[in-house]
Order: sequence, then C-alpha cells, then structure tokens
Amino acid sequence: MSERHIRWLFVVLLVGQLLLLTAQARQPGGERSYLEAGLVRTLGPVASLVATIGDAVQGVGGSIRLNRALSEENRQLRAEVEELRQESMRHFGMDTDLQRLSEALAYERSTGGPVQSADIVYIDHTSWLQTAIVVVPKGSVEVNQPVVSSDGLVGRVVLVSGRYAKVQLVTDRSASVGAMIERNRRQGVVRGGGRGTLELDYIPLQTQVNVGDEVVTAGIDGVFPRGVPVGTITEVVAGSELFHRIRVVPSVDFGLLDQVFVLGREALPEEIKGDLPDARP
Amino acid sequence: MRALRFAAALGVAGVLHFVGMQFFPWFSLAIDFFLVILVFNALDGSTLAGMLGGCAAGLLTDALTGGAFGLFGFADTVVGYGTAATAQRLVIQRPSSSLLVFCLAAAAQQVVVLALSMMLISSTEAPDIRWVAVRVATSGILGLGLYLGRRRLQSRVESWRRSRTSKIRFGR
Repeated sequence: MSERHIRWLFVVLLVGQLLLLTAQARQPGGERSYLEAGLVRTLGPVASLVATIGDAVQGVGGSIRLNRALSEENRQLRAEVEELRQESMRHFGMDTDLQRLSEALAYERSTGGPVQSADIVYIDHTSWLQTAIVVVPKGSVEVNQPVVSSDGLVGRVVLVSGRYAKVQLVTDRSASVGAMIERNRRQGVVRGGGRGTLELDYIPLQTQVNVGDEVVTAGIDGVFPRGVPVGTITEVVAGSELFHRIRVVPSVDFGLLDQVFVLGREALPEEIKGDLPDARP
Repeated sequence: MRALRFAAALGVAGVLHFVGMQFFPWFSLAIDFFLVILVFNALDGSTLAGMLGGCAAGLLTDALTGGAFGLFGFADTVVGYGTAATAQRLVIQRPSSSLLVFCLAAAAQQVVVLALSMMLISSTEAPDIRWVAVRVATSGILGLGLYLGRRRLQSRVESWRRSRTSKIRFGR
C-alpha cells in the first residue's frame, strides 16, 4: 500500500472514530457500539480468570482448613448482612414517605423490581474514566439499570455483552444522578467529580446546607430509584450567584467493592423518554 | 506473522493490566501497557502497522474505561501513526532517543485524550499532573526495557547465526 493510500486510511480512521465519539456525545445514555460490546465480551473472561487467580493468590497463607471454615462462615454472615442492608435500604425513608402519602392521596411511589447480585471482575475507580465490569446471569440485566452496594449507589449499567456488564461508576466525570439532601429534601444533580469525589449542583444559595448532611437519590431521573444513599456532604462553598458548590464524598468505598447489586426497575416508556432528552444521566 | 505477534503482545498487555489492577487500584493511572506495545510496534517505521496497531490498542483501552468509546482509539491511532512517521524520518538507535520517543508518545496520548474530552464532555477537568508524569515516566522506562531487550535478543540471534554458518564452512 502506498504512503498516499495509508494517509487516506489514517484520515478515514480518525474521521470514523470522531463520528463515533460525536454520536455518543449527542446521546450520552444511548446504545453502545457492537465493537465495544464484542471487546468487553472478549476481555470479560480474561478479567474473570485473573480475578479468580488473584483471589486465590491473595488467599494463600495461614491454615487452609481454618481459612476454608472461616471463609464459609464469613460468606454466610456477609450474605446475611448484605440481605439485611438491602432490606434496610428498601425501607430507607419509608417513614417520611408514609407521612407524605397521608398528606397527598394521589401520591404513588414506583415499586422496586428484583435485585440481581453481581460479582465485580474488573474495577478502575482511580483513573480518569471510572468503570467496572461485572458478571451477571445472561439476559438478566439491561442497560441503564441502577447498580448499588450495601453501602449505597455504585453507578449504572452502560453496556451488556453476554454474561458481562459494564458499569459507569457514579464518580465518573460523565455520570450524573438526580439526588436530594435527605434532611431538607432539596433536589439537585450529583455529578462525578473524578478523583473519587462527587459534586452536588443546582442547590440554591437560599437552602441551608450543612457539612455532614446525607445525600440520597431523588428518583427523578428515570434511572435511579429514590432513597439510595449517595454520599455525605464534606464541603459547602458559595459558588455562582445562584447555587452552592457542594462537594460530596461517596458512601461507597470503591476500593473495597467485590460484589454489587443490579436493581430491576420498570423503565420509562420510550415515548416519554423522547420528550425528556435531559432526564437521562 | 507481524500482526499475530502484535495481537499476542496486546493479549499479554491485557493480562498484565488485569493483574496489575487486581493488586494495585492506582495501576491504570501509572502504567499503560497498551501504549508501550503500540509505540514499540510503530518504531519499525511502518505507518500502516503503527496506525492500525494504535487503533486496536486504543479501542482495547476504551473497552476498559468508562468514557466515550473511541477516545483512546483516536488518540492511540494518532500516536501510532505519528511515531511510525517519526521513525521513518529519524534514526532512533540510541537508548536515550527511544526513551524520549516513548515518553513523548505517552504525553501526546494524554494531550489528545484531554483535548477530545474537553470537546465532548462539558465537565471535563484536567487529570492530576503528577499521575500524568508518572505515566509518561513508566512508559519511557518500560519502552526502553523492551527496546534494549529486543536489541540484546537480536545480537544473540545474530551471533548464533554467525557461529552456525562458520561451523558449516569449517566442516567443508
């Protein structure tokens, strides 16, 4: 192939990738490419194998028998704790909701669907673009399903390929979630701040915000259910003329995650989604 | 044959990446094996191989990151093509010059990714400059190691070939 042809091919490759990028920028929550799905499907088993071997290597040392017994007991206890925490999460804010329900008879809260547990085989929570790959039973998970851990919100599914699902962590710079301050129920938008932190935007200066206030999902974005813990406010600064600049530390320690839960949720009908282009995170 | 070798190298890079991430959460910030492999491949001076290798390595990186798919694909295609074009024009034989090429390639990749992100994602912030420096340095060191390793292997193979040829002549 002549140098001239190669230069043309170079330009075509760059333009093609730019078009792919532009399409994604226009539709942040839209369909992902088949190429990406194929690569995730190829890389998933390798990541899974490495994770298994890594766990085995880390587990070596100490008495194997004792380790087994303790591991089994630990597994059971953790499962029990996870179950209880999930239960507690489901009931989060129920008292307040009941009070509100009694005040507004027309109020109807969307019901939660089934919860699917998923093992993390790859997680990158330190770099610029933060993501995780989880293993789920085939066909059990769809794009845009919320992902939580027992401590709170983890992110949402952005791509499903076979048994593997790619999860955009809530701390990713391009992630955003409809959220509210739990104390006064003032709604805003939580955005990934990179470097492991979050930012809570669109909270008016008139609202009293305290360091230590808990932030939970507001259930207004069509993806995340209400009441899932997002994080704790660590810094409040007067930002623009209208809104506070609020820094939030996530309630989930991503460095300790090895298992997450994918929440089943009734998706918004397409015709409604079409009318609300900014509703997606 | 060359494409197969490159694919195998990418596979090894992928496994090393997963192993690194398993034990060190900061691994992806500090080391990019895919970039090292693609620059090493492009140093041969073939722009076609450099460009396609860069594209493949970049898309693999994209599959492992949460951002827009194609961000690293674009950057690595530019880096692969640029490195190969540079290698065609300059003689890169000294270890210090190869170290420089790997470092510059890593820096160029970060600049392209940042520029693209700023254009596509409204809330983009620049990455931590210290980690970028670490990434550039590790890319340089790893690349230099690969480069020296290949040179040593080539000289060994060469000397083995010479000794084999001289023995056959001696036998006559």
